[in-house]
Amino acid sequence: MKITAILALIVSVLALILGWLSLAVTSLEAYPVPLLGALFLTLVVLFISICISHKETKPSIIIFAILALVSAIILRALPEYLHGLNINGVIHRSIISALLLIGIGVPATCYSLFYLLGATPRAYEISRYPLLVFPIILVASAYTIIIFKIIATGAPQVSWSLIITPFKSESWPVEVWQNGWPNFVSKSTLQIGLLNSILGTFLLMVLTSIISLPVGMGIGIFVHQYAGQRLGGVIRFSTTALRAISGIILAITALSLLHIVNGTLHRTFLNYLIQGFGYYPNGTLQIGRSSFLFASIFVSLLVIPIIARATEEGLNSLPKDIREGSLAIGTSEEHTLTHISLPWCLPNIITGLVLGCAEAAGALSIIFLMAGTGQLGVNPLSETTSLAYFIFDSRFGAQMGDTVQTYMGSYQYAAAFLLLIITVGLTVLAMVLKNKIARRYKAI
Amino acid sequence: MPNKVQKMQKTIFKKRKSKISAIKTITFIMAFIPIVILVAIIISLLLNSRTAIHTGGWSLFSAKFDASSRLYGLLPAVWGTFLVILVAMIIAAPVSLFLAILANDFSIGFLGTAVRWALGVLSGIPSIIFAAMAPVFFASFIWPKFAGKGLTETALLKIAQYSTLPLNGSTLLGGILLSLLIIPFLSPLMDDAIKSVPHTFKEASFSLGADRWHTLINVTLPSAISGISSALMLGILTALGESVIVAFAVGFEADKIPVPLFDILKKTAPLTSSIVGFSAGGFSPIQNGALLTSIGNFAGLILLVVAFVFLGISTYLQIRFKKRFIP
Repeated sequence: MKITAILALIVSVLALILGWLSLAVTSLEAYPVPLLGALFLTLVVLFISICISHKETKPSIIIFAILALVSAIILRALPEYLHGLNINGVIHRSIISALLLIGIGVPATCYSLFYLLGATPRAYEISRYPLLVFPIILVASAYTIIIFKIIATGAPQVSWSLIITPFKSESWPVEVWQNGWPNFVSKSTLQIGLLNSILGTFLLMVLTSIISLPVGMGIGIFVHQYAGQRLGGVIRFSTTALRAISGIILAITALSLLHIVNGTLHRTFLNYLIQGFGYYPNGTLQIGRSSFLFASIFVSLLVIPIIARATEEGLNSLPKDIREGSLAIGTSEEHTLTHISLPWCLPNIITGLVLGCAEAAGALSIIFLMAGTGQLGVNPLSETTSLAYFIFDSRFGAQMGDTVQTYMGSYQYAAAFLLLIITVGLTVLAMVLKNKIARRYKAI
Repeated sequence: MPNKVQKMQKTIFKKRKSKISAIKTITFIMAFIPIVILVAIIISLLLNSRTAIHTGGWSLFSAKFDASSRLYGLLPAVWGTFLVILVAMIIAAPVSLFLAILANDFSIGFLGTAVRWALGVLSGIPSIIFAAMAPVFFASFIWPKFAGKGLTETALLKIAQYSTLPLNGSTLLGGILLSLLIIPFLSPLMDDAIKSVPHTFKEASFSLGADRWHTLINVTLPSAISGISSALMLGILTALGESVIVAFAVGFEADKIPVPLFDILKKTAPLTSSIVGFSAGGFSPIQNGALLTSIGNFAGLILLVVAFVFLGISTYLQIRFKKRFIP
């Protein structure tokens, strides 16, 4: 029986591998039909050997064997390209064969593993792993493709000079004396670099954390310390709602604010504050789409819930003895809060802040309707820009005649690589901090 | 003398009380910021969608969007939202459940820790990176499988027209990329739900002679079902609100409901990316008219209502889950 089980296992694992491959490749059309036939044969042999050695009939194996035979016949009959039936697109046969191979290969692997390990309860447990692991492998390969593509294309593009030079593309007339007559020649410079986008990302992170840290901490303290059951519930719900309602809703609210400001004729300080401005090198004032300050107020609406939740969790995790001990020696409630409770939950708050920074670096759904290309420089009152917006713009900006993207559109993978380093680095940092906190709880 | 002491005590007490109330007021004001902003958002959406309601009326819920003939139906966008979320959840829900199971009951050695760390790292990838990968997935998966990459032009024209091929975006591509975004978010929530099932339940099952798989299927998952479905609701909420990926992979226009209703190879843009299209994305120098912006606000209102429904269900399920296990 072992030999038949090994045979069935080998064939079904081959079927799984072939199914996995034919999700990506179209040129393996010769193999699924014979493999399904072999799977049918091995499953039938396995069924017979189980009948002989265990003296039991396992109908499910024979059902899967018949399914393998039927799907082999179906695949044989199908043309290479399916179309019609009102469905858009031309469906290649390999996607159907991949689905059939996976659908029959997974249970076949489970059964053959079960009988290979001797049909014990322990074998039953182990034989469930292929079912759990195979879908994860499929998804993991998709992630691998993404990360590999970004690193393979983006990392060679990144150089030190790309990081430290801002993008600049200008042309201006220069007076040149030729044969005693002045002659105007147009002169231009072109600098390729991502500095403004990188600085913009960091500025967005800094401004967002400055805005959201006090507010988030305040919400966490109020909900934990002062609010009753009902008020706390309302505040908690609205805080989660801010994060849960889509970013695009926040974005169109911000846009309608911008429209109001756009409508006013007189340029007051408020206009510059909300819209942002900058000077081109020749001295002309240029008004942006929205300033960093304005954008980071809206981005911080996404970060406030994270920090509030982290603060609340930290305050909840403070052991009661410590707080009551502090109150027992006569300190006031407020003194206990500032000297005992808040220092205790400081690591939680820092973790929340780091996660919030990662969120702000990748937050595009808020700013992508109002950010600019960052040629106006980077300060809190100039036009918003970030690495994420650069990547977004590389798809749509070049079509719209955007000068940055016509020269730098091919650098989107470099920008993606840098953004990936920033956000993943911050997330890993937050995870390490979280682990440290978890260890501290264990010590007490 | 006792008077003096009492006075001192009073002043000290007053001082303390005033200090406490200072912190209380400040945090009170901060705690009301989210509520105020939420109300302000709703008011802004309502005010800005007045024009759309005036011109559109009930035809905003019709099944055709065509700006040139003054038909502004948003039903295709709603259907597109449903389709994208359906594709994303069909992929993401089982995979994240399996990941959560692998991290908990079926963990061997460092497998659980490794799964959690990998999910944590993946959760740091922002949505724009998945969106920027849409052309890669198109070239390696959608084009050869669903758009006839290997065929010659004449052979292709015999069986299909170019306009019907999913060449620059499809709901399927959007759903696949969305599911990649959701999984690292969804799986830790399911992990928490499974983890918080009391150990005594499982031990009772083990002591009756059940193995790990039977315990999982018959005890752990049914006990954690409300936590898991609450996590699913939150995952749907994330998919609902995601706008960048669908803008890249599906497009901006939802003009009619696809003819076989579940045709995921067509481009039926969901609500979020239609809003981007309506409100004249920042990348376009030409501003759309006031009417389209207003319709965008109305679509935002629909999105808000749907999001609140899902959030409400999720909150209710969480409360139920907590009541069940924490006496």
